[in-house]
Amino acid sequence: MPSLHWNCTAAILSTWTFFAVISNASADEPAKRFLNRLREEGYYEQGLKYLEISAAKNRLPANMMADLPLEKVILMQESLQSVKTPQQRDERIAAIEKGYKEFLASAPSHSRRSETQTKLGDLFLARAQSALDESKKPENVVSSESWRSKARQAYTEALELYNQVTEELKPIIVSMEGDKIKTIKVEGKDLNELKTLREQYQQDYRQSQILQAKTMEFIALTYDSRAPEWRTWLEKSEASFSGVVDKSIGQPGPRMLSLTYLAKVQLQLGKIDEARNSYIRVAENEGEGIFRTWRVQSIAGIVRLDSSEKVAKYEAAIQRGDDALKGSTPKDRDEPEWIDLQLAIAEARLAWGKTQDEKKEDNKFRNNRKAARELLQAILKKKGTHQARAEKCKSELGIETAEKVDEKLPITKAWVDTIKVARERLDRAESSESRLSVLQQQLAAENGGNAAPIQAQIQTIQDSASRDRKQSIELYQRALRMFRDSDSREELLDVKFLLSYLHLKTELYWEAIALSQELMVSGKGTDKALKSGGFALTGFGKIISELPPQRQLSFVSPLVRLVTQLNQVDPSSKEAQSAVDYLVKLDLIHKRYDDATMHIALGKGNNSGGGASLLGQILWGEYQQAAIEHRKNKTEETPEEQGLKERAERFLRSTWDAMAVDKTDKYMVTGVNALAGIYLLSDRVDEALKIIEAPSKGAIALTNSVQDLEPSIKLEAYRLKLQAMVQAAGSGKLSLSTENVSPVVQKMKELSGADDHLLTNALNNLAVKLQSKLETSKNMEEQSKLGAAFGVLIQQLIEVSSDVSTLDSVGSSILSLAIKMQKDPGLATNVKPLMAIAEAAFSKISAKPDAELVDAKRKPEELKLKLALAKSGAGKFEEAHALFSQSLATNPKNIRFQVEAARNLQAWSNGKDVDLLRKAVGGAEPDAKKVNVIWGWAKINNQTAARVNDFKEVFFEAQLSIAKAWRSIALVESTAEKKKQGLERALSKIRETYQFYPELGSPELRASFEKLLREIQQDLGKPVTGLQEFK
Amino acid sequence: MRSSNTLLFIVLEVVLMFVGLAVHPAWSQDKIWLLSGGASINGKIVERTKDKVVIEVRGTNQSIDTNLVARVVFEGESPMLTRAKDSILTGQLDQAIEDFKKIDVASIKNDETKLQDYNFYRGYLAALNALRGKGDAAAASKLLLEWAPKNRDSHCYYLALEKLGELALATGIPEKASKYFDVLASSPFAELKVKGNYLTGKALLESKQTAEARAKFAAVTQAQVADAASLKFKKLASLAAIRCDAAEGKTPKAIEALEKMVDEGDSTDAELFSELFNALGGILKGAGNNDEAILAYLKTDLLYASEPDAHAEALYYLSQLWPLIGENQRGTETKSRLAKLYPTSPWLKK
Repeated sequence: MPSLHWNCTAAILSTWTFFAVISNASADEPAKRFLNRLREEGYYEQGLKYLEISAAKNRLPANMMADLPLEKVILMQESLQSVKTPQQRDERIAAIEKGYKEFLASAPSHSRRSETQTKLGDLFLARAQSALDESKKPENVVSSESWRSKARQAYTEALELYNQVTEELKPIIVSMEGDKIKTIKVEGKDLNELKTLREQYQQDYRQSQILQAKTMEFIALTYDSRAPEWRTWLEKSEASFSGVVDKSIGQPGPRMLSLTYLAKVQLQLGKIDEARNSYIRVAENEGEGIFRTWRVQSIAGIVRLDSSEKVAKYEAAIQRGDDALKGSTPKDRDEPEWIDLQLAIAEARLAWGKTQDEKKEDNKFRNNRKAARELLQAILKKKGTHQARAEKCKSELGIETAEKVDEKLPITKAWVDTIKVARERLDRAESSESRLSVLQQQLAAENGGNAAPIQAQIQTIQDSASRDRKQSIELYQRALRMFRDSDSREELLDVKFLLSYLHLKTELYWEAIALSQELMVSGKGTDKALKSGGFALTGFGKIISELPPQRQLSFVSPLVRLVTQLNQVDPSSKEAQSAVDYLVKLDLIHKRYDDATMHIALGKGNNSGGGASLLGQILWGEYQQAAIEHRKNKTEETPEEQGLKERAERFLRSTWDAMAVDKTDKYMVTGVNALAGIYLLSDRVDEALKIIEAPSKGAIALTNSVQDLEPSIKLEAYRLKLQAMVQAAGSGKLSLSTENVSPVVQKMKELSGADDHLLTNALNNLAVKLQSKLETSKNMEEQSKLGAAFGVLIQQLIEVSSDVSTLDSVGSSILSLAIKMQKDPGLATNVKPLMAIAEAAFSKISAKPDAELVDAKRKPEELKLKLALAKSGAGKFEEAHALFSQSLATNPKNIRFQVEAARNLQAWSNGKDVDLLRKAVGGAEPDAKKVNVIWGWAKINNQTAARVNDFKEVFFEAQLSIAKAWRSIALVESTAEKKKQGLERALSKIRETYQFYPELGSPELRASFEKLLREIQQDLGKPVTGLQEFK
Repeated sequence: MRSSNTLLFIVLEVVLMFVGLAVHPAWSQDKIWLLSGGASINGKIVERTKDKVVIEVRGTNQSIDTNLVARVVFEGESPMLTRAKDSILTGQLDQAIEDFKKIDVASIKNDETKLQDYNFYRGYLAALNALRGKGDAAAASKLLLEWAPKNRDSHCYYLALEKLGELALATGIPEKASKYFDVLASSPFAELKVKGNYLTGKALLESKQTAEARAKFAAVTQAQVADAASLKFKKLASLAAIRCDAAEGKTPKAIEALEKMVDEGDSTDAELFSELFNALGGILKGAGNNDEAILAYLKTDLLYASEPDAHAEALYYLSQLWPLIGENQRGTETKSRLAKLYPTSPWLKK
């Protein structure tokens, strides 16, 4: 194991960083870089050759030339790992030693002297350790002493080296003490640099002292523990470590490290109290980082010390270890020092177990073994040097055997005896059941043939727990019959309480409720009365859940009574609040909103809790439903509906105000989201942001803290955040950018995982909400900002997403908005940027293979249509035309495509290009049979004329468009005559349509016909009477 | 008075101009970015030849030499192509290839300019990928050979020829390479002439025409140029001239000259130094000095792996040299690295 040996100093000094060797590696010089790279890749031999050849050719930079002998020796030391034979290795070690010694002799004041001494020390220590290892090998039993002697010699050399370092440094440090440093003159160094140097020397000095002390301990280990030298060297080591401890006040690093080592030496010397004291001094340090590591190591030391046979304070040892373990995180417990502490506790438990009488202390014995087993199982899952020891401990524990239990119902004659054995049965049931989770985990992890015994063990535990509970019930009931006035009233209360609990556990709910309600009266004012209320509530809940809906409401009265009783005991108790919540939820399930409002008032009068949240959400839902209807019917909301929203807000807000994070369930989180939604709808963006971003109970924070939240609820929180950001940007309170939008969108992507529908729904929802806000906003400036923010957001979504559903969703929402805008003449000119955004989304989709679109449950043709619409809207008529032609070539009867293709041609013409106008009416792109792939309005009109009722809008739009096209063509005619003819033709088209269908399709279409007709009348110089002309 | 909604969309449009420009060239005009950096020149490109691009900017024509152009983006060009061009310039070849695959070819089939541009980048990307040892060199050559004769007036013509030459060199047909590079040497641009002469010389050296190669390198070293790229070619030409010495058996002189270049050069210039150490490695190997040859090639391997072609060459020779000093396993490992890093490199097939 050479790699271990060659890091002795590092191992001894652990991670005490300030002792790290200071490297003077140069920055960017290629020779140095090359040498370092050769080292990193393990090309040591090539490194040596490189130094040799380059030196011979004088091709090394000056600074490397100066250190060349040292560099070569260091490389040789590093190359030891790759040396192939023991002989080569020995030769090389000798060469390395020689090299270091020569360097040290030739360069007494070299800046890398200390580094060299450390490396030479490493060499000695490694050589010693290697010899010591050899001495322990069975095949070297005869030559063991000789190996020990070699080891001793190497350790002694190391010790002399460390002594030399301290001797060399001592006068230097003394000469630099205090103000003396100001009198020192060193060329090229100012006072601050000298101070740094002094600090470095002091650290080197302390480091050498520790290494001296540690080496003394190593020397002791080369002797038999009965030899006087063994003790002598350990005592020297102890004295040296004590010296460092005493002299390093104000230097917590060296001090704590020395104390840790000191304790180990003291332990070997049998100085238990002293060792304990040393460990405690380390264990009491409150530092972080390496100091915490030392602290944990020391606690493990104390645990081992206290659980040793000599001290035998097992329980205290275990308690200390357990207390420390409680302060660790799951991540901590994977660290070596924490694993060692767990091992120490397990060992302590094992040792304690050996002192216990299994028969007399049955439960204690079993619990102790169980705890030890759990610890060992936990640390055995982690890799490390601890595994062998942990495995050994586990084997000492043996196989977990099922306990032999007394299955018979005990015979008792007195109250006291009866309640004692009843309690024992109850405890036994609870205790054995607590092992089930561990066994179930084992069963789940078991792949081999051990499943059957584990299953059998689980079954045995379940059976015995069930039997024990039944016996406990029988015994408690017997005890109640035995009760005399002279017996303790408190015990009577306890018996009833436990009996009620047992009824609940054994699913005897009515019995549990009856006894609990009696307890609430008889034990009024006690904690047991309150808990009994909880039992009763659980009992009611279980019974109600089994009942058909029509019978559930019969429990409202008993529940109200229960709430009243609980309120009399403590209205702020969690039992009282849970009862109110349950009652309100029952009302809500049965849509009894008025009753729910009334019952919420029972709960401490503050309208908080899960029930209030649910009620708030339901009222909010009703309000939203009404709002949708109003939008559809273009009607105004009523004061009653406003009231719904206000009540919803009140309930949700009061819930949020009183909410405790650890008591929050997913329904309450949904309520928090709903509250944010209400604020956003009401443009109370600051309040919404507060609800969304509050540090512990904000909607976002809750997505992390509340267990088992469905992704859709989490996504909703982030969706609301995005909406709030856009609205805040709309009101000028926030600047929306990639930096603040992108992380939220990324988070939403993460949350939606593989289920893209979740994200799509969330984004769709967001687009709908924002679109709705945009449309309802009346303030011009706000609309501008809101629109800009909306654009940035959608743009972001398109940029970050390559998911078809997401892109389709955002693309469709913006396309839909743009199409709506097109219909508003005041907005039509501003549609283009929105269409370009939609085009970007659909272009991104169109780059994907059809198979991927189908996988995403999207129809490629539909997406193509959207892309074409977007292109057309963005003014890329030709590209849109190509897409329409392509699609219609394979599916000419797609009327939607035909209409859009004709619209595109007409828009492309801009009312001026006669050729395009003619194509819009008469069709375009003839196929091989000279049939136009794009029909144009005329053919659309013909195809739909027979089924006007089915294609009403298409038919009338075609009529109108033809008339419009004819007018446009007429207007660019070269002669007045032709112009007049063309205009008359357009007018006739309108007349003809009007004569057959005077309603002209719909009020909107009629208005369009009217407008066009008036324009034509004006063009012709006729009285502008509109449709009156035809009446 | 403007309606509120009108204002809204003016703001929106302005925002989108800034946010989405890269993916919405639809709103832009033709754009030319120069190698010297700075903002793009926007307008309507009215003329293109292999030597110049003329762009009309607000009614005035500006003529730009093609050797100064970093990239041209056409109005309405696929955003994916725009991104691919960006990625090529920033060295993100994998990203460029990914983006390029997403271009909707159908949408440009009727636009001759865009189709020409698309087809150039198709071949150019394939060439770049092949030259880093990850694509098929023959397939890339085929694409560029189809493109180049039809597009002699493209602003990308010289680039195409350069890549064709490099591909020919990589696939072991230096005679062809020298013809392609000669076109660069005959361009009107001094820098491109230098580059063309250097590359032609390199190809001639590969085809053992040492004297002709030396003449080309001499033309480079004597050229009156001062720009950074040309100065680098001058250094590379000096280095190549030393290789000519070595090829003529003047090994000690060549080694001495190369070591002098190392001493005087800037070791952060990966292109020059990787060439330099490979040249040194080749000469030392030829002289039977395996230990030193290994050290020279190791320098390229460990310090200049960012130069794919030079790195692949170093790995190839290292895989041959290691067994010669008894390190068979290292030889095998190095060959595996070559295969893993440059699966389609010609060095692997040697």
